[in-house]
Amino acid sequence: MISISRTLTLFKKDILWSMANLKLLAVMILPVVFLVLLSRDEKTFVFSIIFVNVFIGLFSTSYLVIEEKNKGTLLALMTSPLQSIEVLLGKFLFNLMLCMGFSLLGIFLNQRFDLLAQPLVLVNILFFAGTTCFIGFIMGLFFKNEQEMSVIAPLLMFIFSLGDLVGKVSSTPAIKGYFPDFHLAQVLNHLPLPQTLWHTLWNFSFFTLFLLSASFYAQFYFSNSRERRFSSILFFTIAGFLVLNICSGLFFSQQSVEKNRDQLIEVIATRFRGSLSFSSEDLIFNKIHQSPEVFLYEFKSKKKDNNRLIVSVRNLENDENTQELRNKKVKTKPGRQILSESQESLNGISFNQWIYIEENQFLILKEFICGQQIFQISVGTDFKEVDRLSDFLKSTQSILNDLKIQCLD
Amino acid sequence: MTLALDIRQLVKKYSGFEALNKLSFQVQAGQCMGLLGSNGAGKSTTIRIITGQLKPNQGEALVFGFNPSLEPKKIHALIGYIPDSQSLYDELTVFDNIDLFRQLYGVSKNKTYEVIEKLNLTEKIKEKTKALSKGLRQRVLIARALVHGPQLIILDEPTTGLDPSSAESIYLILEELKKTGSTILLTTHLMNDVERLCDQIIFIDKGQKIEEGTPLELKRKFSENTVDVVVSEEGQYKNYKIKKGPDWLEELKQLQALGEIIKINSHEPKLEDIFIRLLSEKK
Repeated sequence: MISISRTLTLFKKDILWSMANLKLLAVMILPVVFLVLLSRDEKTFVFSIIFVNVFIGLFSTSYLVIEEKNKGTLLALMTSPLQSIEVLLGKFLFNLMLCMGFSLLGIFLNQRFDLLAQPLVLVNILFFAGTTCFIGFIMGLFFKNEQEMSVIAPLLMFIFSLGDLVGKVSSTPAIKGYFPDFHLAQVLNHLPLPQTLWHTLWNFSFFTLFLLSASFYAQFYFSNSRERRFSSILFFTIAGFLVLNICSGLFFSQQSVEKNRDQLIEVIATRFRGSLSFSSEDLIFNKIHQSPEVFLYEFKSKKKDNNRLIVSVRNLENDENTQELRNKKVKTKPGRQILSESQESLNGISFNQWIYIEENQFLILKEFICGQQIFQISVGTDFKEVDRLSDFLKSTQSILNDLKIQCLD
Repeated sequence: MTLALDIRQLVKKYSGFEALNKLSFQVQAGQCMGLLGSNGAGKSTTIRIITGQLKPNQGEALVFGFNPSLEPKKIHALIGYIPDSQSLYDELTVFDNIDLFRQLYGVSKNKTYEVIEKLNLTEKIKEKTKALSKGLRQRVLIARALVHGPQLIILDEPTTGLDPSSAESIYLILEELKKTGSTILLTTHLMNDVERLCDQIIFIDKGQKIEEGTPLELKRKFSENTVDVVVSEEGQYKNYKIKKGPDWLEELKQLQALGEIIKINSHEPKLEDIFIRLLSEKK
């Protein structure tokens, strides 16, 4: 029987011990520096949250266990009434508390989410943090000392924390699907997503796999027949982990294909403090462009009209001066002829709209202001495809009609 | 009398190396048993099997009738184990180190104060264990092992690395425990120290029992039966050996005729001497 009181005793001891052990404290506090530096930046926010969880989960948990092994206190615990699962839960609770605390700090610094409205963010962080804590626990039991651990731990840290960044810089973004942080990154980058529950399920699968593995391995380690350090449990854990990752990657690639088939097209701009989504069977994803100034998705129409939809988020400060400058810039750009200018509202969010001609194209530009940022959507069509403005407006209607915007600020 | 420990034909092999080879012995409740042997003799392996950390390849160990291989957690409630390493949370205080285990065993908080007082640690209660001397740390370890009132106390090399006065204080504590009726099993390679404490002694080598008995029995058995006599003859000291027997006083008188008897030394072997002799006989 698992005793909650014994588990909590161990949990309290770990808090006391870490507070007094400078080496342990340093390992735990170090990621806060990264968090404070990186979480406020929109581009590195997701990485910072993932990194802090991976760092604490892998390093802090394994270090805590290895320190107990080196000092011989783990042996003392093993010859007390403590069950192996209670040791696991005690360490898990302590490190999970750190992970969640630091993640909340990151979210607070960035202010991207309304956690009450989007509790799945925390659920997903919890599953991901739990997974890394369980892996850290297994590593702590498996490796004899810090030196042995430091050979494998950086590699694991790379695998677990760099998926989001690799996806952003790689020419094949689908590769990020093969990284274990992919599902958390998707949730943090693109909430709300229709697939959020699906990603949560994946995170839950990893969590469950490593929970079971860590409890079996702890049972094996704390039992009296553990001469063989490499057990079949570890083999199956690694195999299960690889299978889950491959399935996840394949599934994600499949999802991209599905998107290209335009069953559902969805655009979420990460810099936009909210989300924008639209569905149209007529659009096909064309390309993505990112730079420090702009984040841009481009879609092409499958129809003959050859409409192009561009969704972009510009990194512009939103104050009265910049708004005036923006207005002036839109209207006075050389080669641009403004046909109409209006202020409208969509889902309670007001926006400026310009319809103009530029470089043999009809264009509609909608500019939303959301918090400190300006968010633009433009739809354009060549004269070759439509020669009258009314035809152009008609053809863009299907795209713009089902546009959904949510602004969180 | 209740049998506290019943070790039956224990065999333990580590990848080709035989750490224990059909080791058997018994410890009665209230008895103090010394398991003596050189490094690598199998003392710690025996203790690890008794404490449920290891499973023997053959044979069984019964602690108050329970098999530690099958029911380790039942055993852990009955024993107080003091390992050979000073495994304490260095950054925690004496009180925290002991009280942690008190909470894990689920006994009342008074017990922590009781053992702290019993082991004369009251003055050090708020000190971090890393600031303590080795001897004091060993006392904290003993206090930690006693906090739940175990029926059997197992000490693995309790005085190794301690200075003579610290070792003496540990033996005084163990003597006190013995007086209260606790069963004690201790291993050591510092054999002479346990003589006054242990009721029964087992010598082991290469995983096998090579001799067993009370300290007195062993000494009698291995005494050389001779007396050394130093005689001063014309200013020079000379050594003579005479056999103990019915006419040894007569022989002594004859030596007295040669000169002044300076010293008469009756040989009483130390446990260490007995062990060395046993090893050489075995070879």
